[in-house]
Amino acid sequence: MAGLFNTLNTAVKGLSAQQTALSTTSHNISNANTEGFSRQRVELKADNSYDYQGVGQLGTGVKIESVVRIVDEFVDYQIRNESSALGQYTAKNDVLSQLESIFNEPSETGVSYAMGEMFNAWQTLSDNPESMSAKSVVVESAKTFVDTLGQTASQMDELKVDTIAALEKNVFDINSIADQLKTLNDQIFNISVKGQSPNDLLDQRDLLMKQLNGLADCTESIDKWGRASMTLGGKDITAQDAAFKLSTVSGKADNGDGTWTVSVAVGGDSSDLKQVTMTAGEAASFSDGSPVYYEEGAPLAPAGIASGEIGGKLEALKEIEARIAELDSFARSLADEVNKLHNPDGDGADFFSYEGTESALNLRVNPDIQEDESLVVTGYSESSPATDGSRALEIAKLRDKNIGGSTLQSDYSGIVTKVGISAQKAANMVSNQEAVMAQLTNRRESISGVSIDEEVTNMIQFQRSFEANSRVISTLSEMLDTLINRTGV
Amino acid sequence: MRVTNGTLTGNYLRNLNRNLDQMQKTQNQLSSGKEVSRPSDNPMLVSKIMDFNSTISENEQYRLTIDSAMEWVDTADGALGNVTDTLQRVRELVVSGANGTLSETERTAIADEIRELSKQVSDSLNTNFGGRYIFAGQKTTEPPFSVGADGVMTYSGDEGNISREIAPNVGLAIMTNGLELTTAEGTAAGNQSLGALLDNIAEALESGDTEAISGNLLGDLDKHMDNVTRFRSKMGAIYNRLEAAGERNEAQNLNLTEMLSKSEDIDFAEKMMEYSTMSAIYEASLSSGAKILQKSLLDYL
Repeated sequence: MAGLFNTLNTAVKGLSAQQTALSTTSHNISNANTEGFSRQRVELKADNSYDYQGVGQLGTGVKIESVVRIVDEFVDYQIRNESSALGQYTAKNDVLSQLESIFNEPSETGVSYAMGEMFNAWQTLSDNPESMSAKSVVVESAKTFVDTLGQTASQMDELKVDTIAALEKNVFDINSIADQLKTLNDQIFNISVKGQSPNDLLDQRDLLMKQLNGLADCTESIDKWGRASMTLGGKDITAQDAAFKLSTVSGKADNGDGTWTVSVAVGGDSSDLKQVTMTAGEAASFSDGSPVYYEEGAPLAPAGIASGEIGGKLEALKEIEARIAELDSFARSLADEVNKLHNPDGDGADFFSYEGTESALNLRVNPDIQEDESLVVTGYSESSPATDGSRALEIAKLRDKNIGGSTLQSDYSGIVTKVGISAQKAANMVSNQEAVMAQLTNRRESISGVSIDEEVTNMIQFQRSFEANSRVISTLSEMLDTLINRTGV
Repeated sequence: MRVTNGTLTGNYLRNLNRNLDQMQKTQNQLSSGKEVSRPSDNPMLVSKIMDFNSTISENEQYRLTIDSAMEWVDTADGALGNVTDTLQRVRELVVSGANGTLSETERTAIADEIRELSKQVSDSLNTNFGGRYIFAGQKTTEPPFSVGADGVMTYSGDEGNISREIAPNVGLAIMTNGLELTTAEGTAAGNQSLGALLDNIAEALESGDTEAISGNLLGDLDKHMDNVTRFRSKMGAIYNRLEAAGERNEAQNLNLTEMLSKSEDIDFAEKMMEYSTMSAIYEASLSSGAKILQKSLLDYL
């Protein structure tokens, strides 16, 4: 026969089970708004029964099996995966929308307008070649054009520098997240070996993995203890005591003897610079901001990041560089064409001057002409009468002249269009990716999210259950009272 | 599907932001009056707008050239009118001077007036437009005609004309060649230039050579007057051409501006409708959010 004390024990088990379940409910409610939290559930199970001779199996109450977190590993994996693409397009869109603001088109303050005004000034000069003020207007409008162009180029350079700095910070973040993940892996292992599930640590692990994937496209693998290892460009960045460190290139210089020195900001920390010497051919694969693996004594290896915020910034960086090169070539061909007409024999004064390859940034109106506007040539030759404006007219007509397949105006609007198209594409990709993310997040919310209604319902359920168990205990107490204090007295 | 509070707030915020974003775009279009404000709004349209703007600016520059050329031709026409009037007066004097009954004093007086008129012709031909002499060929900076101590009007300009570009690759020569204006063909030797003719007339009057006056000199004067008139009618033709070019330019400008406006400007009524639809949706989402998000089971326990 089942003893009363046995039943008391069953009731106590019930009490403590409900209490534990209520505690988990409380944990869920308090973490309802915690990022990356997955709701938890106490798994209850009927405890082992014992054989009641001649009657059968008699139950002994409830047993707490475990506390589990409710997740769909696959949805979590998809979210981590897609966050690379989201990070990539968001970062790219950020940089490219800054780039298109720099161009500031269509407007009456951009390069296109200033160029039109300059050619108009040349045409006015061709009608009034003997007028000194028309020459001044040409010089002033050319200065405005050159300033506008130079400002555009210098802002593009600044954007490039800023993007490289942001890349360094991203690499720094990756290293710091990887360090956190290493520590977390240890803690997870210590708990897992005891056969328990480190629910909250696993949530944190997933969150860190998601952040890493948002920065760069890592390949993940999770071992049977729940430890995560993230592989980026073939190297495990979460490996304990790794000799290599994800870093960024912060500059390179030709040594003049066929070798190049590449400076590396170790771990993305620009105050920790290391120099690596290599051949010119090897150096060609590194540019400012590119992520590399730095290891003392080993050759520098490109990290090969294609996606994530870093991938997006690298793409945007390429885009900026290509546009700068196009703007330079636009400035060069404009200056060359004007000079060819203004100073055909090379013995007079060039109208424009520029140095080096950064021609958009360094384009100037010849300082001699700025000082003495009478040096502006209008006539066909030196012996031409003062009213000969044919040369000025030829320069004005450069506006519509086909130079190597396109006009100057269409060269420039081509650059703006390219910027516009890639910014538009990046923005579209962001909204597509956001839709994918929203759908996956909803899916995750639906599985792992905390529903207050549900938790409150559970809370009532556990509370009632607790009360019922208490009632069992008081009933048993009454029974024992009857038995001990009133029987046979 | 299990719906949690997180799902509700997440979706709500996402949709609210999207509505707000669209509203901001429309608001931007409404306040700027432009369809696009940055290249990525519509790259192809922006490139088209930039092309239109550039062509319009170029076209307006041609308009300025045409206007200033028309003023130039106007001024030239006025000056030529003066010259014709003066020559007319010279002809009247020549006809009256050919009368053999005049006394020497009277003839000398006529000769003096003709010398003065010669200076008047020179002054008229030295008319300038904005500081530029309009009958000096291409040497517009110097007065081209002068009457020397010998009383003969001479030309010191060159034989060029001035050219203007009035539309892309359409050139137009404005006649400024003073030599052509003052040189008549088929005159008796020595009368080829207007200056020499006037001097010869004055001398003939002074010497009383009435035969020459009524003969060669009067005929040559007529030829010179014809020449000036021909020059003037050519200027008239140029003026007509400029006028036609101006009208064409204006029509083109109107077309271009209209096309630009079509691609660049918003349809205000349509955008306003879009905006009010959007703001209604936005308000609806705000108020529905206020209702959805407050409630939970706790409100009823």
